[in-house]
Formats: sequence, structure tokens, C-alpha cells
Amino acid sequence: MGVNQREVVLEQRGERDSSMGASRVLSPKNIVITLVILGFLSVPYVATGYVISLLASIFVAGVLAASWNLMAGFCGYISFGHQVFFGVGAYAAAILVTSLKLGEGSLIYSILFGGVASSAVAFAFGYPALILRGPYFSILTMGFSELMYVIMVNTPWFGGAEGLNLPPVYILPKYYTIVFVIFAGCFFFLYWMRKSKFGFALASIRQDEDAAESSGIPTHFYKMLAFAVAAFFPGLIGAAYVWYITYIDAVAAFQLHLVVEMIAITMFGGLGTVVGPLIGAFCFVLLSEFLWASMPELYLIVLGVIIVVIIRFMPKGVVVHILESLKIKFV
Amino acid sequence: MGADFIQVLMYSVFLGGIYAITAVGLNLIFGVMKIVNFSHGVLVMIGAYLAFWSWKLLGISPYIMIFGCFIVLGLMGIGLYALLKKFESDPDFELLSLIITFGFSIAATNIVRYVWTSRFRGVFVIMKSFEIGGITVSTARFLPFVVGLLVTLGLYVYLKKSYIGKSLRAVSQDPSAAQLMGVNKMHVYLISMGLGCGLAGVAGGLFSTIYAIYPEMGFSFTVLAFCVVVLGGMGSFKGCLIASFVLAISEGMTGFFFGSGWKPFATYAIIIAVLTIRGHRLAAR
Amino acid sequence: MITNQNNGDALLVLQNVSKRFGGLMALSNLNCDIPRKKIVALIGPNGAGKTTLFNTISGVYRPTTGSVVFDSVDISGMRPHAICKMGIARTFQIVRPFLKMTSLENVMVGSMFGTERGTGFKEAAEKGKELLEFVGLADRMNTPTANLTLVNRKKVELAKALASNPKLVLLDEILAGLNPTEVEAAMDLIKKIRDSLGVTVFWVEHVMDAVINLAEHIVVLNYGEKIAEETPKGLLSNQTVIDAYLGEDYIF
Repeated sequence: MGVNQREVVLEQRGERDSSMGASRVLSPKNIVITLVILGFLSVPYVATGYVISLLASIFVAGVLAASWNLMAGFCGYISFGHQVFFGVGAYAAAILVTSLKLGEGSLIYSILFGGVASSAVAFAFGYPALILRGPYFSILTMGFSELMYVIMVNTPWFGGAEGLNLPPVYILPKYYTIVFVIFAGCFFFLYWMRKSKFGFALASIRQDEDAAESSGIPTHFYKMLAFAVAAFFPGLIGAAYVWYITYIDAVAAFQLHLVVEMIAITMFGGLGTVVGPLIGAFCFVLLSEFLWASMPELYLIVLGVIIVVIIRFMPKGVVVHILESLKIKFV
Repeated sequence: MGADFIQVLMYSVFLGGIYAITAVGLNLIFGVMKIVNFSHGVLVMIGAYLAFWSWKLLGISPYIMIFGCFIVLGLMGIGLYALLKKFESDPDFELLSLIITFGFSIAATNIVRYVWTSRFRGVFVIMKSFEIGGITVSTARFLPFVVGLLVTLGLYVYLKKSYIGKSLRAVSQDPSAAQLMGVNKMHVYLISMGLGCGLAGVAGGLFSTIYAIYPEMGFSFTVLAFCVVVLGGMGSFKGCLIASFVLAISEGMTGFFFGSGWKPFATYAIIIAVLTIRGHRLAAR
Repeated sequence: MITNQNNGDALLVLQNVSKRFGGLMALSNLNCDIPRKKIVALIGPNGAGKTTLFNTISGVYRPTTGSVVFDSVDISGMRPHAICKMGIARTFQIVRPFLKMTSLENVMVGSMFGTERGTGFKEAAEKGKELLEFVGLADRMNTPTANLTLVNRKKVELAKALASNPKLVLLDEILAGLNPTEVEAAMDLIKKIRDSLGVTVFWVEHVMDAVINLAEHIVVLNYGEKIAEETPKGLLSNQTVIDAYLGEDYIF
């Protein structure tokens, strides 16, 4: 489980600083990463709609899973209601656009707004919720998600049961690019955060929260911050998504299966790692495409069973097991 | 209006009895075994469906079936424990058991949904009602309340006085020391798990006699049971009872005044308020 | 018998501190001054409230009544992390290192987050190495604490506490589980903490030999109340203490 927490500190910090400036920037790793990014960015120009939409789903799933993983894997707090932040982001953007009657130009701003709104909600909700530990926190997140649904459905100002509509602004390639940018931003941010002082504090909290607090870490505040970050990216994604389907209502916004996917993907890829949700999302969405997307009830059944089986037999994650047996170092 | 209000109030109190049975079961499992049983509510749901189908297909009265529910769910509980036993010594045990029982809940809820659909089901019980002070009380609703109280009190006495009860409490405080004193930890674990899950089954069976059952009720019950524990305190019977009634009543009253859509609101609002006010000292350990 | 002087220069002052849990009065009206740069021991039978007192001082509990004044600042009810930054560090009765981190990383947490201003990774690593040398664990710097023996884990926890630049360090039964050689070494270490680092030590202990030999003042707790405050010599002739804790047969 937090095996990879160890990779955090010294290897990255202490000795690396001695390498020369130029050769560090142009290291093989960075070159590969840049090429990969360019590759993905050029997809809309070369691939079919099907491929583009598939990749977009992967990026969405990846960001959601990574955000869930931030709370669960980095901090040790399982959020069973995490899909709520996707919904809040979507609603925030939709409300902003419809009430101010904004047009196409507001796309980026509204998406950012969705992310920020989602963070703000998480920060506020986190204040009482993060006092609780373990299962109590998890229950509360579930309750919170249900609460948001009830509020959204019953309040006409938020569109009530009919939802809100947005102007049809973009088509798939633009959606894809936006989602990819969010995806890349999310993963780079998380990678950086993992190795930062804040990430180090979170790792301490994860291992022993009380000892961490006695050592000087303001645990409650840091957890709130982490929670806000963990809500930011799903908020962005939700806002991007709502522009794509041009419609939002309470049911579409707060879908339980999203969090189940987040959990399954993260457990598959490796709880607490940065790459786990990334690889997990790829495998997962590809598998789903070819296997079972058609029957919704069966889908959830299989997901539930997968979660149980993975934890029972490979709690560190299938991907982690494989990478470890191949002796590949990862974070 | 007044009579309606009293009736809703009364029925909420009665519902509290069912909540109490559920919460006590959870208390046992979490308190003694430190297992976070996120699927507790789902077990209630399974108990409810078991009672329903036994009534529908076999004509067995749910009041009798309660015993059956107790046994079946108790056994399921032991099965669950077998699943979780593997990482008993893992430092991440709490986290893992949380996720794994969540996965189990999702799978179970959706299997039920798939097989029996989300349609509401209910057991029809024809019983005489009686009157108290001019208000009609249906015996069907009153019974679970009585059963709930009896079960909780009975369990309380049993745990306090009997050897098993003392072993249970010993293990919940210090498993190693208890074992050194001759307590068979495995026995205790099996009993707590069986008892705790069995109680969930009983709650479900009773629930089916009054209310409509549906697959998603599992999650509602889980959330509720944990909320009761937050309010009443882990390990406290008295707290459990009181909290169950408080939550049931506020739920009922919210539904009465604002409409049933807002019911969950009451529960969560209370928890959030309690937490914000009582602050850090309530951190559940 | 030491009278309770109102020593204006006391580092830690407990004023009428009480802590109640439901019906249980764990601490009753404790008044005590801990002078600077001394080793003060806290003894008493099990259940007397020693760890509760430590928890109250370090912020895990809030005193029900009374106040804890540290360096002239009232810290009663402050959160543990704030108190740590103010200069009180503690070790735990049951050692709690961050198991998946190495010794060095554990100590780094202390300096990065426990000091008043906090430090970065590099500074913390340097300080950490120094402190691990100070406690004698230089060769175990990069071992995950999960793989360390009990003694070494205690050393790591001690180093972590010292890393936060404390003025006062609370040691909770740090000698428990150590063999006589290790006890000797630990006693030397505690002395070094006071002498080289100038840190005041407030120390809960059951190993009476160590306490008699090392402590300069001894505070005795029983059922949550302070029943005596003595020098080591005075302690052995204090009848109340003998009745409550030491026993008639205690031979020094």
C-alpha cells in the first residue's frame, strides 16, 4: 500500500541537484514525455472520431481516479461521494453560463470557474467532515453527495428536475484537447505535489495522523487543502463535460457509478501511486469498450466484484504488482 | 393535522427501533473486530428481501422469518469475515475493509437490482390496530419497535452478564490480553460477526413488514447506522438507542414538514452540526 | 520537601489543571512548575494520570479547568501541532514512528514541520543526519523504521522530537523495554540533551534507579493528584510516596 511513499524524499531531492542545468532539461525522460504529449495533442488531426472519443474517456476517467486517489492513497481518506465534485463543477459552469447568458467566449473561464467552485465546496465541506476519521468520513461524503443531489433536484433555481441547457459550442476535437490538457495538468501537478513538502506531510498523515499532528503538521488544515485539490480537477472535468453534452441535470451530474469506477481504476492501478490511476484508466476504459458497456446493472456488479477480488488478492494494485515484479521503479 | 403529526411522530419512534437494531449490530462488529463493515446496510436489505420472498413464495410470516434472517445473515457475516481475515494484520486494515465492503455492497445491490428490479416491494401484513388516546396505532408498526427494544435490552444484559459478553468486551479492548486470559479470540470474532450481521438481517425482516423495500435501501441503512454511531458513540448501547430515535424522529419530522425528498437532509445536517460544534474532540477513534 | 515556589523563570507552569473524562477525574488540580534546563521526572502508579498529563500539555487533550502556561504563554487547548511549533516535543509510550519512512525521513518531519518556521528538505536532511548521529543511529539512516528494533525506533522518535528545536521535551516511559546496557546509554543521552542542547526534560518513568540517579526534581502523581514534589533523596524518605508507589522494601 504506501510502499511508494518511500520513493518520495531523498532520491529526488538530495542528490539530483548536482546535475547540470542543460542536460537535465533535455534528459531522455523529458524528451519522451514531450513527444508523448505532442503525440496526444495531434490525435484530433489524424485519428477517427471513435479513437478521439475513446481517448477522451480515458482522460476523464484518469483524472477522476487520480483525484480520488489523492484523498484515498495520499491521505488515507476514502471518499465515497467523490463524484459530487464532478457534478458541482458541471453545475457551477452551467449556472454561470445560463444565468449570465454567456456565450462561446466564456468556455475557458466557465471551466475554471467550475474547478474553483468545486474546490470551494470541498474546502467548506471538509471543515467539519475531516474531523472524522476513517469510515465516518466516508459515510459523510456519501451523504454529502446525496445531499447535493437532493438540493439540485428540488431547487428550481438550479434547473430543478429539467436541468439546464448550454449553447452548443464545441465538437469532439476541442473537447478532447481540453480534457487532455486537464489530464496532463492534473498528473504533472500530482507528481510535483507528491515530492513536495506538502506531499511529505500528507504521507505522514497517511501513516499516523496523530503522530503527524504532534510533530507539528497542521493536519486538519492540510487535509482540507488536499480535499480542495482533489475536488478541483473533477470540477474542471465536469465543467468541460457539460459544455460537450450541452445539458446538465441532477441525475447526469451525480452519478454513483463514477465513484465506483474511480475506486476500481485506482485499486487496479495502485492506491497511493501517481502512475497507478493513469495506467489503470487506460486499461480500464479499453477493457470496458470491448466487454460490457451495454448492460448498466451488470457493469456495476462486475465493478463491485472486481474491487473485492483485487483487494483480496492484490491489494497493492494489479499494475503495481506487475511493475514490481519487473523491477521497474515508479512513483 | 394534530393527529397526523402525532402519528408521524409515533411511527418515527417505531422506526427508531429498527434503526437501533441495525446500529447495535454495527457497533458490535466495528467495536469488537475493528472491521469497518460498509456493507451493513446491504445486509439489512438482503434480510428484507429474504423475508419478502419467503412470505411471497412460501407464505411464511415475516415475524417467523426473522429467525431465518438472523441465521442466514449471520452465516453471510461469517463468510464476509473469512474474506477479510487475510489482511487482519495489515496496517491498512481499516482502509481496505472499508473499500472491500463497499465493493461488496455495490455488487450485491446491483445483483438484487438486476434479478428483482428496482420496483418497490412490500409485505402485506394484516393486523388489528389499536387505539391510544384517540389515535390509531397499527400493530404492525408497533411490533418492530417492541422487538427492537427487547433485542437491544436483551443484548445489553447478555453482554454485560454472560461470559461471552465479557469476552467480547475484553477482545474489543485488548485482543492479546484477552487471549492470554483464556478467551478464544476466534470464537469471539465469529460470534460478534455472526451476531452483528444476524441483527442486520432481523432489522431487514422487520423493516419489510412496514415499509417498501428496494435494492438501494442498503446504502441508506449503512449511512444511517454509521450516523447513529457518530451521534451515540461507538460502544455505547445507551448512545446507540438514543441516537437511533433522535435520527428517526428528525427524519420523520423533516419528511412531514418539508416533504420526503428532504429527509436525508435532516440526518446529514445533524451530523455536520454536531461535528462542527463539538469539534475536534469528537474525532472517532 | 520542595515547596511550590512561584518561580517566575519556570519554563512550564501548570495552574490548577484538571482533566475530566465523563465521570472520571483523571487529573485534579495539578499545580507544578517545571524549571528551565533541568531533568524533571514524573512518577506514580499506573493509571495515576501521567500520560494524560502529557497529553494535556501537548495539546491532545484540553484541560477541563486550569491552564498550562509555557514560556509565559497560555497554551491550554491549543492544537498539538501549534504546541509543537511553540517548542514542546514529545515521544510516545508506545513508539509511533512513521513505519514506511526511513529513520532520516522520520527525523526530517520533525524539523520540516515542528520548528517554528519550518525548513526545506535539504536543511532538514542535514539536521536529521546530525541528530541521528547524536542519538547513535548514523548507520541506520536509510533503514525503514519498520525494520528497526524497539530501541532504535525509540531513538528515531527521540531524534524526531529533537529536530523540532524544542525547549521542552516530554519523554513518556522511554526506558520501557530496554535492557540494563540500553538503559545506561539512554540515561547518558538524556543527560546530553539537557547539557549539550539545553533542552528541559520532563520525563515519565517507572525505572526508579534511573529516575533517582538522573532526575533533579521528581513529581509524584497518584489518582490524578500531585502527592509530592521532591529531590531524589527526599523522595526516598517521603512516606506518602512510599505508601502510594515505592513500597517499604524499595532499596536504593
